[in-house]
Amino acid sequence: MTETAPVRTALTVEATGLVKRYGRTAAVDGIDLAVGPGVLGLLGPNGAGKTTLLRMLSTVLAPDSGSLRLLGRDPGVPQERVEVRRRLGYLPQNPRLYPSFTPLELVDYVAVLKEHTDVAWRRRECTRVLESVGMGDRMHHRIRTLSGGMQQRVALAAALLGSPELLLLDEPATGLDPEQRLELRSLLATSAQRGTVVLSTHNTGEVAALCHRVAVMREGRVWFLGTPAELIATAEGRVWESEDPDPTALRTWMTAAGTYRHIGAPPAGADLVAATLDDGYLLVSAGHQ
Amino acid sequence: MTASNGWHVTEPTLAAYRAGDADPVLAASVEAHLLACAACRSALAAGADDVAGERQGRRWESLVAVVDQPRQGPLLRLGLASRPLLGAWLVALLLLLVFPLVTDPFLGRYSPWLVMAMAPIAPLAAVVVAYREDVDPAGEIALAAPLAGLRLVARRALLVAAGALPVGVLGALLAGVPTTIAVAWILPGLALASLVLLAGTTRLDPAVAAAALGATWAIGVGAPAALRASAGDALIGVLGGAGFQVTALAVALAAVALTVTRREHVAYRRTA
Repeated sequence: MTETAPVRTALTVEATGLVKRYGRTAAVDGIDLAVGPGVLGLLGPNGAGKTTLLRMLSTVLAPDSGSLRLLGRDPGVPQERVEVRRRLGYLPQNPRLYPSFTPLELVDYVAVLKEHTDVAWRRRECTRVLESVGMGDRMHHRIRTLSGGMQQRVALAAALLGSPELLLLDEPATGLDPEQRLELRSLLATSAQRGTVVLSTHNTGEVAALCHRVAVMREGRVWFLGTPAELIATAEGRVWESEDPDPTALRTWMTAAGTYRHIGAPPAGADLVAATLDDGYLLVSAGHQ
Repeated sequence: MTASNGWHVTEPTLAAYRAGDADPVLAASVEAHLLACAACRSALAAGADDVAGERQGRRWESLVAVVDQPRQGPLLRLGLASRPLLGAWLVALLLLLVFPLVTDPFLGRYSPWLVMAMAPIAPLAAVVVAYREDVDPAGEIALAAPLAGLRLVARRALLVAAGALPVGVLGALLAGVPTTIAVAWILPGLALASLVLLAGTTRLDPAVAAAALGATWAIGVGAPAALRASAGDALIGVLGGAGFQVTALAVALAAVALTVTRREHVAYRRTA
């Protein structure tokens, strides 16, 4: 394995005008993004372009146009792309692990693909990452016998191999129970201390608990990029509750208390309430800031 | 060196002796002193449990290292552990073993032209399958690994071919096919497989390329021979000749060289 000197940069991900099309549809339509150390959460509805963006950041997919630099390197250049791949971990949306492998065999195989040739190192590292995701006691079970959540954790373990500087996770909490979600948060917080974590999610609770920054995507574009507090602030003064539906609101829904919560331009005398991250996300994803 | 002069073995030396790290001269010297010194014998015994525990720990660790090893080696996992690849390998193997046994419907004896017509297309399936993303045990995770791309595809294809090729040759020899024919299909097969590998770097589906090349080869070689036995014999003479074999090798080398120059298109550009 040839090593090249790491390029020091404060920004882990630098994307400018990133575009990816499938036929006439632009899955990612001119994204500008600058990401440094910490956890960035990608929020957005299905089809917003989160997965396509993550696939480009993981070097699985080449952008049609725009420029992209990862860890200070250009993934469009073969040698630099290999260098980036050595330093990133990737959890795809549907990992599709081979069912007849055991978690240890699978993670060891991924370590081989990551060019780790030292058998003793691989054994230690595979055990470490499997234990870190709570799969240490099942590392010799066949993957086909594991639940969906456990398989997700095995895939996550593979992404954590070698403590990558850039960790890209597409809906990592899928299939995890609440306790496992808590463990995941702790794990990702630790990873974020070493580098950058970019994760896509539908769960604003995860973003609030974990992310230093959040990007809200819609129709292939980033509509908001800032801290969770700034996302909440976009909805401040624009959330109110009433006993009846309000047709003038951008979004209206019934709460568990039986009242209606609205987002938009509040009418005179409206009963304004404190905004939440959900409110901010709904407001931005509706196309308003 | 006796106990009577008040000298005792130093703790680092004793520790080295306990651990078995002392060289023979030092060990002999320590042992001579221990025979005469009760204090040093006690000191040696006091640390023995720790050393035994440490040794046991080391042994346990090395045992775990062996027991915990994944059952299949990494190279095997790259290739045959994947069921579609294993299937492609078995198909290639089966075809290579069966063709020499198929008899000519007209002559009622083994058919060298059938071997030449069909054996070179047997490895094509392996190349086609090697390109498929779903053959990888780690799915999309593998695509983001440093080894992804042509390096991984080529290794898979080579592993399958390396397993099937000697069996195919041996099978043909055992079936009584002349040695020249038993090995003459290898270079044309390599050329066809390399062209399919090259197709994988273009927008052309490798499966379509394999089907087209395979059909063209099988019909081009098989049809004249099937129609007339003398034509078959003449064709075998040409295909087994040095001129054709060198041409096949040249095609294979050119296709591999082109594939290498176009390796960027294997995964990064083509993956949708």
